[in-house]
Amino acid sequence: MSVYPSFQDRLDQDDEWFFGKVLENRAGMKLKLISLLLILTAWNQVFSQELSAYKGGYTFEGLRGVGEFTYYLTDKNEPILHGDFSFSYQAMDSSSQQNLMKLKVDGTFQDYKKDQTWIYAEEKHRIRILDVKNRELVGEIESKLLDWRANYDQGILNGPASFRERIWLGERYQDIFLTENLQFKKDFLSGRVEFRNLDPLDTYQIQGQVNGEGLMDGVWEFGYQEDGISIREIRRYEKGFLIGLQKVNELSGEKIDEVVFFQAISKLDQLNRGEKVDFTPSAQFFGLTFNDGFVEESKEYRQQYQGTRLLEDALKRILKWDESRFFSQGKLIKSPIQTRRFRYEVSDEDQKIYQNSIEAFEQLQSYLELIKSSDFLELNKNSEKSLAEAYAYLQYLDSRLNQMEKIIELLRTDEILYFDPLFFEEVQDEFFPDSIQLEYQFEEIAHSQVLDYTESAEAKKLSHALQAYLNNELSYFRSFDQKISESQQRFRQTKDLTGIQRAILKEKSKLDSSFIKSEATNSRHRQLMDQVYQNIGKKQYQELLDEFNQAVSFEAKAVQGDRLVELLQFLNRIPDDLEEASLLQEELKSLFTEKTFDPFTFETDFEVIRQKPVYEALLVLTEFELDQIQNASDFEDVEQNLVELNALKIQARKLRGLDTRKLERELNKAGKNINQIKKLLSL
Amino acid sequence: MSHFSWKIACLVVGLGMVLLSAGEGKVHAQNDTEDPERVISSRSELWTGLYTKYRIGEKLYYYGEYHVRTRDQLVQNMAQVYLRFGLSYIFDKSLEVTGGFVLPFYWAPPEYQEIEEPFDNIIPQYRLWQQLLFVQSISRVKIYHQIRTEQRWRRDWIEDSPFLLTFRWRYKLSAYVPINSTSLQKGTIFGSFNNEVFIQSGKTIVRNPFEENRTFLGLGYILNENLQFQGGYTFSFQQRPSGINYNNRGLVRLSVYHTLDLTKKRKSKAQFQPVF
Repeated sequence: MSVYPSFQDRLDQDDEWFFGKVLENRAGMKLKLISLLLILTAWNQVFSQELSAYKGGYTFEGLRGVGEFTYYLTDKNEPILHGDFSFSYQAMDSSSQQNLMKLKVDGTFQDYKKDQTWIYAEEKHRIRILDVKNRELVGEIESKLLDWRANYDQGILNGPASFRERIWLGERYQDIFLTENLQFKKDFLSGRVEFRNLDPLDTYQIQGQVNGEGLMDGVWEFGYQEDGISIREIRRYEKGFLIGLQKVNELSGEKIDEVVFFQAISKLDQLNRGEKVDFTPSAQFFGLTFNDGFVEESKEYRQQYQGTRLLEDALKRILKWDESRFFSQGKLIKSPIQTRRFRYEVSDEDQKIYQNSIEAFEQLQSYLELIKSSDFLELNKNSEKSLAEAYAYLQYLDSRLNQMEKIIELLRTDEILYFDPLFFEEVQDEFFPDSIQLEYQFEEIAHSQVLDYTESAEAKKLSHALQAYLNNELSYFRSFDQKISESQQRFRQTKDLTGIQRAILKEKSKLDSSFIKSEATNSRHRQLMDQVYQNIGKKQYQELLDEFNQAVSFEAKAVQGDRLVELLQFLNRIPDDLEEASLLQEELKSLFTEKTFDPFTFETDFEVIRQKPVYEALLVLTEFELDQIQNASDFEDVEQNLVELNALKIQARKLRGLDTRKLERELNKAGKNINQIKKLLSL
Repeated sequence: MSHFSWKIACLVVGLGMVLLSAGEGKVHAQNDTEDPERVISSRSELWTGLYTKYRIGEKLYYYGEYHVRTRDQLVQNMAQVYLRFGLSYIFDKSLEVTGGFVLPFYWAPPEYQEIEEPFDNIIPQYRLWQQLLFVQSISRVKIYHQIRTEQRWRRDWIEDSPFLLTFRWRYKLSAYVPINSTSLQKGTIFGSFNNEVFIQSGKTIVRNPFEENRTFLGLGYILNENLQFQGGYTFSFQQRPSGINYNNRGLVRLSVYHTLDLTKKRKSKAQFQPVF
């Protein structure tokens, strides 16, 4: 018998644990809830859609497991999950075969949106086999259990929630992460929040208060270890504005650090007094870090880092199964706990400059990426002095753009509106120096060149500094790029382009000798061949050839050359595909034609088209694709059309002989709407 | 059906009408000196009928004919309601055997209104029938040889007339000629021709063992695998029981042929299954 609790046991235990916490809240609402449920159930019975049951392979939260649920189809045949839902997943990792993961999910969907209570139970086991004795495995198992229970409404968190993480320690499971009394209101936490991480390697406790708007409010306490010292961090928030932070040694009581956000306090006072100022409390709320224009290196920013990191870690754990709504690429994009900032006025002129600066910055980034993607400069930087100099400049530009990205991101996200303009004075020297000295070596001799940025260094405002800097940088870039292009042309054009030109000539002569002279099996085949030859073999070929000839840079020439070769190779291999395509309608006819016996005329080969709407829909699609091929001006489109025809053929064979009456009715409704037909035929 | 084929059908039916009305109701006394009492009368009739063949087994079919026939100026008087039922077994594409019973109802001819004896206006008849059908294909033409035997229990309209058993022997030669196609397929218009000879025997058959000869010329159209239509004109020459009275009948015939396969197996349903 297993020493581990079964899934059901865990559910039972959790029920006790979970419901105990929320019992008081529920008692008062019980009667109302029952009445509401009864009304909703009756309503649902009367007006519910026609539900289909499904049990089988299903991908949930990126895991391919087994799902069991009911769903209905929209007018456009999109499945909408509705009703009870359960999902189970179990897999051993394929590489080491040591990690077993199990997941069981139960919940309810309302029009494909999570509704009511959802229960997630995850098990992770790491198994290490140490020996086999008397055909019995001897090994070690590390086990971790995660349980998440939450209430949802219209797909968003609403109501009580709890999270529990346990590991097998000694002879039983012990809590290592626990939350108590979490209460969500429209995806935001509300009321008292407490997280306890008991993992010996990363112990922390966080507790604080979130107001009805999801803003941190009042005193927040963080307890954690830093450099072997137990720290107690106390923050004071005023409706989302951080006004003070203090760190003390938990054991000695010694004050380690303190940040008083005087500016924020003063601004709040000004607002409270109703003074006329050029800032307002932001209508928008922000993530966990309070920021009034603090750069990352500032004390105000750095001192928030550790506590905020731990709070984010806690949120990441509990929101594991709602990650897509709260996180993007591991970063919290929508926090259920929020802060507030001050919003500053930005003039129209500055807004315009910011917009232009974003564009100029992205232009520089894409130019740089283009050059970096070619290994030309890397390989030839020691061949010419100008290339060595250009290489040094691009290295510098790369690091410079990375540095500037932070400011540009503020502009992109409009976060600059929430930055006190005074922050510019703090960062001007760092971001806008008056000159840069490029240093590089060529033929073992050290060289240097000074790049002048005086205008941006002397600017009084961020907008002016940015504008001046980016104009300067673009001008430098163009000058270096010109030098690179000239060298590049000299170096590689002759070498690599010869190979491409040879390939073009070879494929073209093959095309001229075979394609146009290929025997056509029927008039449609001939038509397809002629049209494709005209549109692609002549017209597109000529266009690409002109572009190839007109291209100046090596990259552009090589890209066009490769595309030309690709086009010709494609044309040389498609005559058979076109023949098959031209015969497809006949093939469909024969596929859907059944020979029957007419008992009146005694005709034994009486031909009847079966599943006529399906057959006709396939004909419409075939004709559409053939027309597309005939009129295509790009060979890649023709390639796609041929793929579509092949898929159509496979689907036709699948459908033949099945009872397609329901599908036929839908197809009749769809008429000649190509997109609708494709969807109905699962193409 | 194309306009062309409709025109042909209308022309055939129209011509039939003209011919019929021209000789309607005429009674000719033969001036032949050797047989001065021979009398030939003429009349027109409209025969509408539904023919059904419903497949109920691998080679077994339910056969049914349902006719309504009117007479005199085509539709002046009711003539018959004629129901034929049977089971057909189709051995192969060239041989079919059928057997069953027939239940026709005959309306008394108008001349009965003038007799003094009481009579029944509608009388039934009971028949058993058997049939062999041989089918030949010659190029695009289908030739049918139909041999049919019938045992008829007939009676007169005069009240309390007894049912008397007589036998009937029929042979029909038919041909279907596809016009707009090489074979009889959906959408085919075909020419239809047949000639049928009726011989009868039995205790009461004394003077007219040759009962009738019918010649049909018409057009047919195959709408789909379930429905076909035929229309045309039949010239019928009958010898009456007296042996010296003859009927020339012009019959306009409009027929619908309906077939169903009741043995089709259920197919598995192709339901739209979203990809999950």
